[in-house]
Amino acid sequence: MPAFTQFVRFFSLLPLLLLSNISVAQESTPSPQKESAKILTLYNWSEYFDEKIITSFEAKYNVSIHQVFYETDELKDEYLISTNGGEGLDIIIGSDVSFKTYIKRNWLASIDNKKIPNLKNIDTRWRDTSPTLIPYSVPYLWGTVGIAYRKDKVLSPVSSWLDLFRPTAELKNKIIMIDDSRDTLGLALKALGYSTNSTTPFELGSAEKLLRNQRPFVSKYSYINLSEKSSLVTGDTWMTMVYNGDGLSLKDINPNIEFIVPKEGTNLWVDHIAILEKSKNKKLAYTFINYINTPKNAAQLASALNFASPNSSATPHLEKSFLNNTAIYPEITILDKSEAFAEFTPRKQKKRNEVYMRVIE
Amino acid sequence: MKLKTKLLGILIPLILIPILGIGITAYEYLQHTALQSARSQMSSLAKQLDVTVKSHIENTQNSVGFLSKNHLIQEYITSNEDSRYYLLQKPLTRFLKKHQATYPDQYEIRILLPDGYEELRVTNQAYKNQTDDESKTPFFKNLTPENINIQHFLYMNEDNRSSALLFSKALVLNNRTTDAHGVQATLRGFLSVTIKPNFITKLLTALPSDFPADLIVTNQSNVTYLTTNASLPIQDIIKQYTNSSINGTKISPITLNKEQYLISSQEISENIRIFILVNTNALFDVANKLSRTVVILSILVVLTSSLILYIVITKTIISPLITLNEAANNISQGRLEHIESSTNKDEIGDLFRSFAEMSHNLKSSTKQIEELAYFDNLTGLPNKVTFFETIGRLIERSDKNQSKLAVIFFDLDNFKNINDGLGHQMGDLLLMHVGTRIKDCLRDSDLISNLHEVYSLQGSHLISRMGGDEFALILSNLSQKDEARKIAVRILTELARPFLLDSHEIYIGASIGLALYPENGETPETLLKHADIAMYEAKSKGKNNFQFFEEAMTDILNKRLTLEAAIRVAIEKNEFTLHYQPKVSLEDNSRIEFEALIRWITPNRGFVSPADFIPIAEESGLILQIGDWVLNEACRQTKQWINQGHTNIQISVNFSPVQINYGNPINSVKAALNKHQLNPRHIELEITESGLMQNERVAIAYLNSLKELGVSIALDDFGTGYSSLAYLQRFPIDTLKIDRAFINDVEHNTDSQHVLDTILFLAEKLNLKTVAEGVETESQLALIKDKGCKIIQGYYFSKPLPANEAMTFFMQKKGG
Repeated sequence: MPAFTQFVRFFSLLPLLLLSNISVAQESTPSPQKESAKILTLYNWSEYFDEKIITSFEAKYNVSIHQVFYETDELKDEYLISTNGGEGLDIIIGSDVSFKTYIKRNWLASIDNKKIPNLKNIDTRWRDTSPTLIPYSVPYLWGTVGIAYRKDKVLSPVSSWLDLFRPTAELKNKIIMIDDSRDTLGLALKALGYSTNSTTPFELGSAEKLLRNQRPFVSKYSYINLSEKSSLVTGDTWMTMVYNGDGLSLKDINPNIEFIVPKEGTNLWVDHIAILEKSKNKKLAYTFINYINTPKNAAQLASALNFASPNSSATPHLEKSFLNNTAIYPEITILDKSEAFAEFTPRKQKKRNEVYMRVIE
Repeated sequence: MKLKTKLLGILIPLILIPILGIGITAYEYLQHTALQSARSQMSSLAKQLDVTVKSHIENTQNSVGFLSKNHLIQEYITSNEDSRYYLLQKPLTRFLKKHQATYPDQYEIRILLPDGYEELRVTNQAYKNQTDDESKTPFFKNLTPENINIQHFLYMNEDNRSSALLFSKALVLNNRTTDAHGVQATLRGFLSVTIKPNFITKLLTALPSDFPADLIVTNQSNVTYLTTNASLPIQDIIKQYTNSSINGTKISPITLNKEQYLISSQEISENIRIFILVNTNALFDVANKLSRTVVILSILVVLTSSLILYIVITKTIISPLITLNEAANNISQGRLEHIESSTNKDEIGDLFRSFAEMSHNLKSSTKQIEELAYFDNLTGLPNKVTFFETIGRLIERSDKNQSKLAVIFFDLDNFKNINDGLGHQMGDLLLMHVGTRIKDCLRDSDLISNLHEVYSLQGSHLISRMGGDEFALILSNLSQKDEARKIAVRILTELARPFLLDSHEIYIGASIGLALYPENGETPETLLKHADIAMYEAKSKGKNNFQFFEEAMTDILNKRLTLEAAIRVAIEKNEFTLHYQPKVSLEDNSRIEFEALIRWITPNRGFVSPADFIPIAEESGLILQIGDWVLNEACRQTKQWINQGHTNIQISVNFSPVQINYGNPINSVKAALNKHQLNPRHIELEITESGLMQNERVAIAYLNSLKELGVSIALDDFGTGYSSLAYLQRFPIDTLKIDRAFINDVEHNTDSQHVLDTILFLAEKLNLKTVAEGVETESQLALIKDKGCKIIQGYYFSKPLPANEAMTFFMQKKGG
């Protein structure tokens, strides 16, 4: 992100981090009428919520929702560290893996199940995948990771992770990779036929080598822009690693874009929503989480974002085409080969971090 | 060639010595300057090192200080492993990477736990981390948790096997989230930043390349971590350094591996010491280079200047000298060629001109010498050498063209009298005039008169002066003998004319001998000898005539030579005797007078007439001895007679003109008189008229001297020859002896009677005695007596008689 180029002197690190990496959704000065209205601050990826639901919630409960976006998991962590666990934030949406750390740092508030009646709508299997999270967070959306590419530019068929990690010559500088060791390092391991959660030095070494060789083809390690200005849409980027829903969104913008989940299998991820320990609007936060889990709203959210919902009550409200989309709901053969993130001992995590950092820095 | 070598030998050192002098001075100056400059550069390097290293230390310490206060780092080091690795590792790594991007020299930034576990490492170098556990490594053992200040020290980085400068700070912190207020902060770990100490040595690259400085970087314990020259004996240097009194930044000389160095040392910080070493040998490279340049330059200068000088010397000195040398050689061999005068205005040019002038002078003086050699200095006539040189060639030529050749030889009659009487200058003058007159006798075009004509034999006649008053002529190309005769006559005629020299009128004559080729001889020597003989013949014939050589002349000459030898013997053996002819005085009966006459009777030939041997004795000079003998004998006899009582006596002795001209007449007479204690009045000297006339003044002088001695003088044979009455007045004579020719004629020749009358009249007037010679008859006696002549000598009274008989004549007459 360009903001980092302003990072010049380390003693000015913190203020600059705050100023330049956090964008506030509603930048207009709050009106005097709304001053009395409660404000619920939501900390989330950009383009990862549905505006209709927010509008209806604000109207229904006479609240104002501020959205604070993060661009990467890392920036999300830094912001939380710098705000001592998210002071000023009420609700956080993020990966189950990161929430496990937050819980250890006591940044997440434990959830009173009674205050969220719609929790019964959540398929228990999504909660059971991360037992440590059950007292603290509610599954938000789940999905896979795949490859989005320009089928008009990439002429050879794309079906394997190796098509991304060991690309043909014309793809030089035409690839964008997700700046995340779980996805990029994990799927490199997968491409080589190893487990995405491998910690053996040899397999990590092989993956490091694969990533190093891929570097000349990668224009940047970042998440692809999902708007109409996206470089994949404009054609500057020909291939990118992308979460499945986002891949489908891009395909909707430009029909030349194709999205596939590679045959080797993929990461299965689940994002959760939780209330921050530091939140002063915990009651309203419960209401909000409960609100988005009504069958209709859950269906609305999933279909708007092209991700599968862990809320089983939403299914009747979803269109058949949505439900049959294998990009959203992968076939069983793919699912069998796919893996969810495992938890490592800290020092093994450290090693994986080091491998990843060595490659991308 | 030797001159070239010498000149080069002088000039080359003249050029070389300044170059070498400048070279040596410059060498020493450069050495000194190099040393000074090295010292100042070392000082400046030391200052630079101090500033640079300290600034690096300070900057890195600042970095470490700021990093240690960083929120992320503090969060990280106080968090548990989960947070660290899941949450903080990546942002911290990125942060430190960005920091490192700004400070790339901080190539290794690490966070270590108190137990030595390497938590985090950020490096911009590609090398492999050997271990995460640094607890056993020397560097970790150096870290002191007690010191919360930033430490720094040198160490060996095992990961990249290179020296490293490590900065470290112990992180002593509270955990902000868990620690209660007031809890003692605890050691959480260490933040360490490593930089490469190469920046120290890199300073050297900024130095001039000819400044051979080396650095050694050690820690306080003298462990070496960095050096710019691994070949240096570092341990030795450190040992010498610690043992010696070298300290501080003082620059000291030191010897390493037999090479000279300057060394200084400085402690930059408590853990860093830097030695600066400068190889002074290497410093002198410039000076050495200069000395090499000087040597090369010298060689070049010697070569080029040798070449140039060689060319210049050859062109301006040697070549002209060689030319001069050749010219000198030519001159020494007599070839006096013209020498091209050099146009150069230098000394060589002067030498050339002098040489040319010398050559020219030599040429003319050689000509003079040749002329001296070939020509008579006085008369300018060819000399004897030329005569002999020429005559052979003329003879050859005569053979070829079948012509005759004559040699004329003559000398001047009476020349000796003139020379003695008038002086040599007058004699020389006379010879010059004689030469001119002889030349006038011949056609100029016929004469070989100069050297060129001698060489080329141009002309047919040669006149040469043979020495003294002798002249010789070669007449060639003659068709007949008469041509030679005509020339001889011409010469005689010319020489007979009086010479007017310096107001003197001089009369000479010549006796000329001629010899003809080939009749009178075939060689030049023979011809000349025969001409000489002919000349003697002419002389004996009474002078002033010429004679052709005849074989008979040789006999006459031989006879004369034989006679001359006999005379010498006669003198030795006393073969001469004196006879005395009485002179009778008609007035005084008591008077006794004789004329002493020499008589020579040889054992072999009997009586020899004085008329035969006296002329030969006169020509050979023997007359002087004979004359002395006659004088002595006459004096002895006279003295004897006086002693016998005949006191009224006078003896007359014939005195040859040769005795007057060539002898010492005064001494001779005086000696004889003294020897015999004889009164001079008893002696009378008879001298012929002709002998006196040859040199009148000399004769008068001698006669006066003789008169002073007291002797009487008689003029003999008066009336013949050049008899001049004027003489009678000038000569101090006492007696006139009238020549017998007048006495013989007197009876029948009236002319003779008149002359006799005149003579007797004059004698009487001049108060001279008169003696009549050759009176043989009574009638003659009567006539003479009648004319008044008082003394009679002749056969009428007596022939010459031996001494005792002569005295007897007067005794009988007295008695009779």
